[in-house]
Amino acid sequence: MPVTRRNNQGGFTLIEITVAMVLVAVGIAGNFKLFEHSFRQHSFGQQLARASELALGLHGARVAANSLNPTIQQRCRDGEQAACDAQAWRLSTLRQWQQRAAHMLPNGHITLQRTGTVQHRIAVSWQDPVSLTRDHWSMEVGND
Amino acid sequence: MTRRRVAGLTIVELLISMTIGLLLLGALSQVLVLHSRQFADSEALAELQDHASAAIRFLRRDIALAGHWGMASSATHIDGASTIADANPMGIAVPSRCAPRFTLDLTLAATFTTHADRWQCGGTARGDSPALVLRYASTEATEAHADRVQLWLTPAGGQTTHGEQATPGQRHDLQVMGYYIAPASSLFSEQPVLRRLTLRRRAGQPAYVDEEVAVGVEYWRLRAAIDTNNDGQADSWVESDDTRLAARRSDGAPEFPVAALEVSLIVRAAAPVQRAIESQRFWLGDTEWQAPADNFLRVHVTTTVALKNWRRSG
Repeated sequence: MPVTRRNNQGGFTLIEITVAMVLVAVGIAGNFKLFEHSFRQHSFGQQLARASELALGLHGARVAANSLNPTIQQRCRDGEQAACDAQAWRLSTLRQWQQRAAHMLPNGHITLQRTGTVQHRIAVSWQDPVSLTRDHWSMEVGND
Repeated sequence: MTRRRVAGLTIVELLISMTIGLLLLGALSQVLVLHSRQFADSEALAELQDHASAAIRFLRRDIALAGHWGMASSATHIDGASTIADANPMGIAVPSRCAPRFTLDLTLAATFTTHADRWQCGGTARGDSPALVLRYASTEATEAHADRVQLWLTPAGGQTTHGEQATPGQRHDLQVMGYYIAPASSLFSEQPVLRRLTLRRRAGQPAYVDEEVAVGVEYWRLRAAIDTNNDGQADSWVESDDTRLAARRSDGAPEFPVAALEVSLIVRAAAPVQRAIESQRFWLGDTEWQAPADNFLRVHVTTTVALKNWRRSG
């Protein structure tokens, strides 16, 4: 009687349960992967907004400095002390923006690199707080 | 017999599976809530960026033109500028709490007041942020108008005047802009706002209009690039409370002319979010600013604008 009753209950076999659990586990893992990706994207978006703000801010500062003190590099090379002072001030301004990058982004860093006669690349990098990987963003500017 | 073959779930199995299902649903709904919150935050931050851009657009134009005096080589040669003449020779009605020479203090293209409440020209200025006053001549020459404050500008200087002038020159409208931050907007209740006191004309008379420029602007910090050694090159950044910014030579010209302004704005959301948010710290100029411990989202924008005519401001 007990044996007959057990057969009539028609439960899942071990294989069925295992397969079902694996499927559920895969589904959950996939979802978590998706969520993790989504969080990472959101975090990246936030840091990217700060990075672009930093880059645009630095670019604005450089443009302003250029309009104030045009051709200072050449004039400094020609021996004009005032132009050398102005150039030193421009470099100190860049250092201030680098300090801001360090404060505004986790392990943030901003660089200004000459890529042509009048072209520069402003590059910002930071460490993603979730994945701890290093992210980068850069923009080309042509009037520096 | 038939009943035995149905072989359904027992109540215990049903309860366990429902509990597990509920737990999973709970976890999923938490994630969905988090996502929708992130989406809402991103939308709110984008809107704040728009407000910040609007404020920057207004400021950028006025800052760039500050110290523009048409064909005049310097403001110190404009008769009627208050530092070398009567404080208010035209008897312009200034807001009761402004200094009499507020309109015609032309020699300093950009002036700062460390705390806007001490400036006292604005209606209800926020006490811990500076006020910024910019003065310049309109870029276009214009006809004589009795209801405007105008400048007759010549290569040798000029004068504040109405009527025709014998000396060849051009007539320009005087522009005076006083920016300050008020803690509450009159249009959008409980929201901070960037306001501007502007010299316009009203009812046939020159008059000041106090208007809202950009809602949401809660705080700002200003830094000025100045020429400290009078070699014609900007060489130092100073905060808006630096006493050198107000120093004048004997002819009224600035001792250390302002060549550029760096404006750092904090813009606050219109409404708080319904949850606790992380402490918000912003890097303004060279110092950190701690936002109040509330649930408002904020963004920070910094821009630098050169004064196109800074060498002629004094």
